[in-house]
Amino acid sequence: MRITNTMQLNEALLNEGRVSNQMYQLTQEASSGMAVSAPADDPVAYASIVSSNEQISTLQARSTAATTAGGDLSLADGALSSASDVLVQAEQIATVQSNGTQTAADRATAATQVTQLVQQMIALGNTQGQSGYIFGGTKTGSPPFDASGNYSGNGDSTTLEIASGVTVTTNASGASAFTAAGGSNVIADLQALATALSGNDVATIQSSVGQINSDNSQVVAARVNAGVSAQQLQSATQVIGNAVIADQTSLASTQDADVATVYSQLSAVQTSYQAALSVTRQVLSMDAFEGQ
Amino acid sequence: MSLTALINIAGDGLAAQTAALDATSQNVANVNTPGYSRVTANLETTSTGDTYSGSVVASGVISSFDQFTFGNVLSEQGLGGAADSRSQALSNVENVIAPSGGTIADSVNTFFGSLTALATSPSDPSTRATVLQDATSLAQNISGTAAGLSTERASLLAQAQGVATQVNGQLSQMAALNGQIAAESAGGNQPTDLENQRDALASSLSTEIGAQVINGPSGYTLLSSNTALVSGSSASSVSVGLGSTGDLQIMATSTGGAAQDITSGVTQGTLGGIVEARDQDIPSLSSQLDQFAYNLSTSVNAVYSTGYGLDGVTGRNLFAAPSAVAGAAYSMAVDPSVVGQPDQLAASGSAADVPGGNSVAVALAALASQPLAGGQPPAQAFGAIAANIGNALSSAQSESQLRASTVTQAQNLNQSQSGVSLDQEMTNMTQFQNAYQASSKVLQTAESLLEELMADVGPAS
Repeated sequence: MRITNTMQLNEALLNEGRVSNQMYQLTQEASSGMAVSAPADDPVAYASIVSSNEQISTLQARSTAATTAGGDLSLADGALSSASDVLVQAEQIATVQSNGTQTAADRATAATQVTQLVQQMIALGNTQGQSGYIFGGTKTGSPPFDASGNYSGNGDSTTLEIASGVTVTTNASGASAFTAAGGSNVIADLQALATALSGNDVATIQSSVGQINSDNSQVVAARVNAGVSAQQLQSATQVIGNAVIADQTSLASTQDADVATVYSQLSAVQTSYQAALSVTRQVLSMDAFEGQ
Repeated sequence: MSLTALINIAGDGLAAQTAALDATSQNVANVNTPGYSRVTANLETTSTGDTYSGSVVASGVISSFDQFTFGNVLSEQGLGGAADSRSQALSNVENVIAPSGGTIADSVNTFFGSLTALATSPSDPSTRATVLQDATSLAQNISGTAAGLSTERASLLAQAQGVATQVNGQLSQMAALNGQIAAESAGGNQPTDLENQRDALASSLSTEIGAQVINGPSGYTLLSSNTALVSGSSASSVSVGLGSTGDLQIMATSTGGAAQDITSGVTQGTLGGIVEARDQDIPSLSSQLDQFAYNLSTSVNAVYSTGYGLDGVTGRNLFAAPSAVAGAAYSMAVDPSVVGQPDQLAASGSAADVPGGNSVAVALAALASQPLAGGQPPAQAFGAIAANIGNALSSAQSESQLRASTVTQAQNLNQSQSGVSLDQEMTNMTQFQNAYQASSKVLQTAESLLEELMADVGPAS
């Protein structure tokens, strides 16, 4: 084959184009640290990166949601614990005042104490958290208990998906803790005790002791439920945290450039680029006219 | 045989070697000229009238132009031009679909993430405002991407029209050259310079629109897109417009003839690549994006419309209900009923559960990992669209690289036949220079012989 100067030039340009294209891609990988930054770099890997990002994003959103919901549940836990304390106090008052040695005046004083406990109980029932009034069921927008202790909330629960298809209840039920829906109306029972105390009605005071004790069990049962949910959310957060790390690791293995490999490839390509350039320079400067 | 004849032959030799050196100097001067074919002086022996002797004459030059290898160059350049322009267009499209700053998939993830937050705080105003804002930016992102694809199509139309303008200039130049070459040849001249210019035009036309040439008595007939665009000294003009479907319509109009639709034949050259990218690749992506937007809006609305806003109203849509699949992406927007009204966002599953009910928010958030009608969850469905453009672009890029090699190969084969090798020219130059010096020596010798003769037979002193 007859070789002409233009052929040599064409060939040199084609090869240099190839090498500089490789250099460009490797430089891009090295500087961005990403092996796949656009769909065309590796369409299959790109699709799996999108899918991993989606999973990570879903998991992180669930984790944040679980933490928020867990906050309200631990608030409910605290409030129910205080409610239980209130009931213990009321039970003690009722026990003391059931004793025949107590005077009507003593009982009137105790009635005032119990009335204060009622107010305290109503305040606890109206505790507000991140999601509003936490004991109102889904009626979180307004206080579930009015000043006289009437309940306007509902027994509906809210749930959260912590894994696909796995849901956890995220509210403590005010209805089953405090109202007849859970067995007995706790606030009404306290009010009845207050009335009996101020009316010096010993028989009712005596029967209140057992009632308030069972009310306490009712509140404690609701607290246990809330605790179980809080526990579930907390362990879900941990599981999600591990899953996110696993997903991020697999994402990194697809998306991130292997820096060591890229750098060594880059320096190999640079060497061959320089070699190609100097060969081209020599070939193009060499012909029979040289030295004439 | 006479001394005078000797002088004449030496003179012919000088003239012939000069003609050969002339050809060499032309070659050397044009070593880098595109379309240039090497010439050699055609040296022939000629009779001097004396039976026993012959002189030399340079009867013009022979061009080493090679029709076959040149035809290969044209074919490969046609394919290479198409691959280059398609890969450039698709690379822009890739930027529209998957910009490095953040894609539709990221907006989808953010949107579903804020729905999950809404599920934990269904009545919180700032969470609601965030959901509305994220829904709006998701809709805007999808709609903006669809608009970006339209813009890309519009700019490819402008680019195609630019190519057509350039092609028309070259077509009429080629027709004019055909005329001039015919006239020069008729006058007995050898217009190799004009022929070289015409070859350069054919080469450039093949890159732009795909072309083959047939050399006939009236010059080049340029065939492109199954149509003769140049025939003798008349050239057609090519125009690019939009057909009734919105696709490119490429018309060729010959002088005095009717316009002819050649769109289906334009598959090569820059223009062919533009046609493929604009009217096949982009519409296919647009319709995938439309289907995605339609499925996403519909499935979100199906769940959302069962929910109740803080105002207790149900049956509203979150995204404006798309009227049809076609155009769903471009028209994607948050439903006018919710715009600026985060309180109306439906999170609760019944009027009784307002404001704390979150069952609809939970169901909406769960859509993130539920397959759309297309078969994949939203973000992954978008990932599949992005992978499609990625595949199209990467195959266009590898074709473009492959064509770069095959074009160079074809050019090298052609060069091997018709190109200038400086080494060879140098050798030729030395050879002709020596021959010139030898002829010159013969002339000197003949002259001194003649002088000697004159001195011998001169008048007696």
